[in-house]
Amino acid sequence: MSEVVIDRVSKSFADVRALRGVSLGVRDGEFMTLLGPSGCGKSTLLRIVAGLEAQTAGSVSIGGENVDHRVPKERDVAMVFQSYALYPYMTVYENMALPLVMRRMTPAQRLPLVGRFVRGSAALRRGIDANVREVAASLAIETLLARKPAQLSGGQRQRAALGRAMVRHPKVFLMDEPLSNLDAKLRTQMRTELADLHRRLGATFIYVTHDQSEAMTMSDRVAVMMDGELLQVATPTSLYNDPSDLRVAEFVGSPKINVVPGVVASERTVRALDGLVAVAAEAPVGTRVRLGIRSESLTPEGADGAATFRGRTRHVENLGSDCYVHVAVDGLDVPIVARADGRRADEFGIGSAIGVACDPDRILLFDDAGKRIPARSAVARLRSHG
Amino acid sequence: MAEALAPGRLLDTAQRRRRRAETWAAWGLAGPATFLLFLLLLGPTVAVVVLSATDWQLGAKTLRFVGLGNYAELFADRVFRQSLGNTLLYVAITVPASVGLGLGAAMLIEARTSLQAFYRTVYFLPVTATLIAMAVVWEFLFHPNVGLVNLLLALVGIAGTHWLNNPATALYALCAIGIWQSLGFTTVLFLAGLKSVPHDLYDAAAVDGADTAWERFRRVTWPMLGPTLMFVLVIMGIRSFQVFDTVAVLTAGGPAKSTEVLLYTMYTESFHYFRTGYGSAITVVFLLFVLTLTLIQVRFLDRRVHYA
Repeated sequence: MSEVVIDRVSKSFADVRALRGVSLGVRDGEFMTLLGPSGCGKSTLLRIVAGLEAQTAGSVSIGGENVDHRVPKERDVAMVFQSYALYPYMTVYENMALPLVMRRMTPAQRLPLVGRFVRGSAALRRGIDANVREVAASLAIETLLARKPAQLSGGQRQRAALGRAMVRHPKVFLMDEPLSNLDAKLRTQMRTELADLHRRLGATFIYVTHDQSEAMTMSDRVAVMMDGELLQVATPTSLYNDPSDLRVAEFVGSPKINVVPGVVASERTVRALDGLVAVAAEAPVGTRVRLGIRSESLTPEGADGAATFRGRTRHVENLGSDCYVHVAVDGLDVPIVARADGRRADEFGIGSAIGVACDPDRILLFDDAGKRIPARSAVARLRSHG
Repeated sequence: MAEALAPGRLLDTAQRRRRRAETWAAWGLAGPATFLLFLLLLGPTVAVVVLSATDWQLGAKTLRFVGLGNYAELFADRVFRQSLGNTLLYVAITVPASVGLGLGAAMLIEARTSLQAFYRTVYFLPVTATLIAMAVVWEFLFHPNVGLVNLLLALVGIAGTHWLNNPATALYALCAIGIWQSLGFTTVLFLAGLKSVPHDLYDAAAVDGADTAWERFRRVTWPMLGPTLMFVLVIMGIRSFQVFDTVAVLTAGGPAKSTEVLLYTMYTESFHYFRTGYGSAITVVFLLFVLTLTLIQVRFLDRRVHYA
């Protein structure tokens, strides 16, 4: 049992409040990602769970036991750092063996040279050796055991750091942006490997990243943090489709969600710029709102009367499978981005007039403070009344 | 075919001409520095080595080559042997003490959360102060009757001595001054070294279970300071071999040659007795020690101790 419960944890550095009463429950065996921009407090929270930093208030328990007053070693957690933090003067083997050496052997048995003559140390060394080799084999780094970290590539260092974490089978793995130092291709590959590893080990993972695609691709659930607060904890699917806060909607998803100012025009419509969309908002008529519309809910089309938004094509990003059309619209500082099939990419001439149709089913409404307003499509009802 | 080859050959000539121009430019740019290097450093060194094989006296119009005669005399000379022994003892005491204490002071300062700059400055002050002026202060401290050292010792019931005038203690008193003066230097170097130890390593060590002060030092600080330590050892070795000013001001090599050191012997032989050839031989011995230390630094430092 290795669930992690974070209960109203706060942390202040001098006059900066890094964490403001964060509560989060991580289930046994779950892959939980703490996602947020840099400086949001996610790494601080991870370090508090690890015991590397003491919280100002609140408590942390691991596997049902309060660990507030335990040093990192006694919390049975392993940590993987962004810099890998391998000891540069030790071989990969020695790096991986150290956590076991520190735990299983007495100070006398650990002594260099003399230690091997202390009773029982040979048997312990053999046990440690077997464990290190087993983990190295599972990570496919057996051939690198005799090398020093400086002689390894980024991906190999990453694996050695993972090996050092895995070798003593901890209850909880804590990972602080472990993929940030890898190149893009390797990062994508390691995402799959980490997700595989998590399934294989069945251990609890708490993973910190600022990269929303890492969070979306690997996690069971994602906790989005901003300014020291937890905004939303949800599965990647509901985080993307059902964000509770505009900041979450803006942080998750690429390209960034389009945000258009509007006002509730009637019980069944919302006016956005010049267009009227068929959305029934649970807010009084006249409420100022912001519409969050993902680019896949917008379709570029001819500049005729049916389009919700009208403007001029400013830029076309052709990704092959899809293309994203940036449309400059009067009254908006940033262009609206609409998705089209990649095969249509050549249809859109830069600078020409264009219309954008909007799928009212997928529109998210937020109030002025950025909180989600419940809303649903009113297309069917509009039609029946029309 | 010939027509096809011709442009390639032209290109070759052009390339060669450009490369030659580059070579000339390189020599032109490095020339002045190279010239000065020979004039000011290598030239004098060669001159000293040549002079050490002669019986030249400063100002003399003639000189005679004596081969290794000076060296033979040197190693038969009781004063020189004492001088060499004293210098080695001085180095053997000053280097480990100032390195050890400097590392300790640096770790204490680094562990503080406030006033780091203040302590750094205080420790570094002796390095910037003129040693000759400071030597006068030390002379007072070591004074047999009114000196602070003996007054403090009297408080705990120990009878002091005339530290700088007692052959049994004079060299150790000079060592103390040397350590005091170098401490700030080593401290500042170690502080810089400590700053470059990645903090993640301490975190990793804590999670791995190496979390006592001793384990942190042994697993992270000490090995990560390897390059700094090597550098500090060599620099301090060279500096300690060069001990001169405290000897010249405070003891003049005495009493009874107990503080005679290499550079001071060289100085008296060359500039008091004007035996330049003999003095040059001492200089060559001194240079050999410094050269050895420098070679250790170049070889060992660059190859073995760097990790990245």
